[in-house]
Amino acid sequence: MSKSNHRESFVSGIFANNPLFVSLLGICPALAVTKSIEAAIGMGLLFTFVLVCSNVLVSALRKFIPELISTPCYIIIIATFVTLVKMMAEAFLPELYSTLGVFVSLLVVNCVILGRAEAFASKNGVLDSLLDGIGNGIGFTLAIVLIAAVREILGAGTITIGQTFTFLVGEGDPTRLPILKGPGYDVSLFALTTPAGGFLVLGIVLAIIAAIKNAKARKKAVDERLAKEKAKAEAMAAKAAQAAKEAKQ
Amino acid sequence: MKIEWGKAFKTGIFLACIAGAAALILSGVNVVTSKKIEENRVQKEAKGLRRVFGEATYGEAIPVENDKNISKYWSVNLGEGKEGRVYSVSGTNSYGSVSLLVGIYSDFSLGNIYVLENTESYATTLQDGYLTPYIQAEDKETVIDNVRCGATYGAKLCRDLILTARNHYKGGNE
Amino acid sequence: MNYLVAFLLAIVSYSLVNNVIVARFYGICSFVGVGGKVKSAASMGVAVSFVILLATLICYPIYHFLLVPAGVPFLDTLTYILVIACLVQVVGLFIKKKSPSLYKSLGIYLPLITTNCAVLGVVSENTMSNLDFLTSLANAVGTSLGYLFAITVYACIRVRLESANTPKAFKGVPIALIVAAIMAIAFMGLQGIGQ
Repeated sequence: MSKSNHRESFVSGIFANNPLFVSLLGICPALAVTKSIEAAIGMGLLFTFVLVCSNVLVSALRKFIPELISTPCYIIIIATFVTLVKMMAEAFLPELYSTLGVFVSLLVVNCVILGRAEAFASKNGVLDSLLDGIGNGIGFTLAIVLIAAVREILGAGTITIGQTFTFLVGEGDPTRLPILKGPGYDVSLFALTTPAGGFLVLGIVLAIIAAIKNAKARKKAVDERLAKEKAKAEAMAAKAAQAAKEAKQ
Repeated sequence: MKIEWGKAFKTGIFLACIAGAAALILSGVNVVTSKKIEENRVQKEAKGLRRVFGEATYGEAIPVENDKNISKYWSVNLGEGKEGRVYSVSGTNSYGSVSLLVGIYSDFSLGNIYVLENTESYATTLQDGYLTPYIQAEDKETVIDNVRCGATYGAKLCRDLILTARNHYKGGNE
Repeated sequence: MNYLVAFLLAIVSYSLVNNVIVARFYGICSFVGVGGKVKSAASMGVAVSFVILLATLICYPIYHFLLVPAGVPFLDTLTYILVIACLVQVVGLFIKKKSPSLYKSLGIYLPLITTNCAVLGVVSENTMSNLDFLTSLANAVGTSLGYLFAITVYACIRVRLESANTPKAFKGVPIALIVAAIMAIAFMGLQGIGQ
């Protein structure tokens, strides 16, 4: 496979085929763990790890797995890595583990991971699957961090550091950076931290993306029309010039 | 429909092999992580003790048997002739379970608490509506009965756990 | 407290107050994906409810009488997903044999249930929160009822939505999510009941 194809499998998951914003997969974690930026980053890391590992293994075993039972095999592979990540998180990042709770286990049935295994890793080489996993992982992480940033900054009014990644503050309490809420003022929108706020923010973000896409499509159409008109005008001018030349002769 | 037994057998074996390999790998990882998880638990307990009474001299943990809520307690020397105890208590209700470290002074007034584990479905409501005000209150007696916080059963559970610890201390149990 | 009262209260709480979709966020993919077809939404809801109940009834004893005594409680997720996958297959075959007409209406949704987070979510939640058998059952019943209710009501709203004049950028999923947000606000009004 050529170099540009490797690049393609890496980049496509980040923007053009972003698993959350474009394919609309994995909405459950995108709503459930986006109350704080830290939790979203943690979820993104665990998600990327599971996705990359399962992609690589599925791709390496793709010639051995019988087609009849391919889905159960993928599920077992994914469940193994999820359990592995779960145990690691409980041991080394216990706060993250208790914040995400049952949603770490639910990575097993995450549509993005199973979808990439079936649609990409079972048909492509190990290197491409690795790049595809990293690309999609980054894309999903960026998407949920964006939603979490909106919800935490506007909803809670502060950015909390050290709540989930306790090693950042050592023994002390988590630090809160005041933005919309501080001593003497509070203009935060509490509703955005509630479940309803999650739906609302995701809906609005998707609408903005759709609006940008629509605008781009319109611009393209207008550009094409202008180009056509310009070509037509040029052709007319050329014709007129030709006619004038002929008349002179 | 004719079932191809040979093929079914082969796929079955293959699935079993994969599941077995997965179980083996996980057991291996578990050996490493379970130690670390245990260490974390001990560390969290030590940190919790310091949160309850601050810098003080803590005795050895004394296990409590035959009690469904209290697992153990520490005798604490607070300096200047003051004493107290920290109880490790846990309880469950229909919405999950709570584990607390409860500090009690030797005159049976209530001290601070530390939340070890809170797996209630209304964990955040319970934390914000009952536990945090309790921790911040100067006089704990005034807030201990404020259980109407949106997670009433969870708050009642916590209150009962705290009172159980105090009664155990009052009862002169060793 | 009386066990029956506690059981009923827990069902109310898990179905309405802590609704599976609008408060706990399980099974949103199916929720958004099934769209504005009331009949398929209801069929999907019934199928999922059935699997949630069976999975809870089977997974509880497996965890407490098999995995824990054997010293391998960490294999829970792996076991649960296999149990659920097998269960979905068996239920599919059973329905196909007993009632072909029901199979016709449920058939296409059956394979999707394996990857529905609501099923694994309930079972994992029971394990993680250390719920006893009766409460696990209450969680399963409550979640099933809540799922069925939410997905059917939502489909009814979306039928109307499709003929409504929404801004172009909001067409499709974005407006559906906004509707879900309004539904979540309605469910927030029930907070305080049954707890």
